[in-house]
Amino acid sequence: MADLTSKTIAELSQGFDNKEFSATEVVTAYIKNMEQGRKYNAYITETGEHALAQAKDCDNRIASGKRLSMLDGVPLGIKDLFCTKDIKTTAASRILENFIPPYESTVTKNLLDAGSIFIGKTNLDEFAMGGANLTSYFGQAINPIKRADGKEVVTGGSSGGSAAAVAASMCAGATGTDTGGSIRQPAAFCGIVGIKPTYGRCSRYGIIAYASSLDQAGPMTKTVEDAAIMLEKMAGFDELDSTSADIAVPNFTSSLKSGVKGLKVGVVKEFLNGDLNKEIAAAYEESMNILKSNGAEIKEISLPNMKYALATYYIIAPAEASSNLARYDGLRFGLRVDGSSLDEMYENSRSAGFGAEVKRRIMIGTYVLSAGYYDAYYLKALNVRKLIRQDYINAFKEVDTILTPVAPTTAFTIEESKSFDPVTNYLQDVFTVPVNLAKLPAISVPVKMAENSLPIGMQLIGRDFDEETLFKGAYVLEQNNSWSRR
Amino acid sequence: MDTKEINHIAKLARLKFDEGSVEGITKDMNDILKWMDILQSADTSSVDNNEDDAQELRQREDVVKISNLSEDLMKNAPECYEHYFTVPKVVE
Repeated sequence: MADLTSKTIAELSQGFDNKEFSATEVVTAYIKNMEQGRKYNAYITETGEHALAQAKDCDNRIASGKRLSMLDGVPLGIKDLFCTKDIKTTAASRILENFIPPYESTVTKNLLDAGSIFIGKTNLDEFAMGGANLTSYFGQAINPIKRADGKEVVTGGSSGGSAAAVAASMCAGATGTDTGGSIRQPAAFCGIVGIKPTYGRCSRYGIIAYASSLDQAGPMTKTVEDAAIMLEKMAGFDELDSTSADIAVPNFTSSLKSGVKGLKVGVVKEFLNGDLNKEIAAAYEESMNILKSNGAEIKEISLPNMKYALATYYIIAPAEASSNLARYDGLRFGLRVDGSSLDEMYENSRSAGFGAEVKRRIMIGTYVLSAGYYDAYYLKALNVRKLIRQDYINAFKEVDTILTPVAPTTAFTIEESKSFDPVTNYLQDVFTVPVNLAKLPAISVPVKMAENSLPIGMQLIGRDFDEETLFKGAYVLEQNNSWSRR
Repeated sequence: MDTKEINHIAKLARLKFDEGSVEGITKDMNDILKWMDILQSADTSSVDNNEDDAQELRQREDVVKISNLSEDLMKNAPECYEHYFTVPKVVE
């Protein structure tokens, strides 16, 4: 039974329907790949035994011709930020090293109800704060794709373990979360597909919170079609999340292959005239040409306030994080380090439990919310956020979707990243962060191999709740680019 | 920001930086805040402060449901006594 792990979710589903192989065989093949791929450190917790038990139930359903959905029997990696009942959930932090949730997140519950199998909890930046999976308490994840000079490169982040697991066929698909690019950038660095849906599309219930007004869950997969299959099941209204959107989830897979004829695609003037890396610029142009030759109309648009997006994000996200992470106090759950007073116990537990980047963001957040600085930083950022969203609303009067690069460079090495100061790290998010601020959906798809043999990703940004257009556009890019044909 | 101010913010955040790390976080905070100065040049005069563009938060009926049982929740507590979380003594 060779090559079961190279199949897409769509192919696995068809194989189950035709009884070509069993879920147990598929899970067994993935477990073997996970063992061989441990050098990538993609998983914090492997749940192979649990997965085999689930596979038995799937096989009974397959035998009786009663599969629950296209995901029934499909092994998935789950970012270790989603609470999974009775399965350790760490957020890649020492403070939650031994946390076992007594409840299931809505997104993972939806996936379980669809029959999918959880094969492990994937690595990430601590509390999803980072863009290279280097801040994980459990060590960095390694990109399965090597640079032309033979050097190992980072996976990107924060959903780096999920991206590596999909790229190395250690799961058929994975969940990610995206607060400022944490699905799209690792997808681009590892040569896979990832979509950040519209804010409100997927429930945040049971996802360990980083920045609540920006966090959104989405799938990470080998193909655009697989992303559509997964998102259909992950998404949906949930009364347990007060920001969950009560909007029907379209059948993404049915419209996926209908093409881009007549679609108006915006390209951003400020990025075209800016100092884009030469190879990224070439990939940008190549992607425009693919869409154009398939009948789309390319139109230049302006997003004048993008230059403020990073600073805005790095005020709002840490502000929300400083509040969200106040719950880790060593009292009700998580790491506790004793002290002579209650305050000292809080300080000792939090100082020992959080890593350097998490502490840095809690400090920024506390500062911008503190008396005397609130108006100058936090309130100002909230107002600029509105300007940024307005830029997109104006652009979407003229175009249906906006094409931009995902990241300013291809993946870098761990040594290279050591020379980055915090601000340099934050600059990596320049193309992804504004989308979260505007709450819009965006898909990341690999389009080209750079000279250093690493993938380059492009993103399509859409109107509120118009993921359908993104899937259509990304599918055309996927079917016609040089990375997918490599 | 100087180390005194950093220690004040750390206190508010219930964090502690020892002598070896306080210099590093002070430098990082200053670099980051300086970089954020760009926002001061953004013209936000057209933005209505009072207008909340977030969707109206939904309310739901107050219905009694069995959710997490305290026993399950207590399993993650670092220290507890019967059904109580325990803390260092707070009153003399």
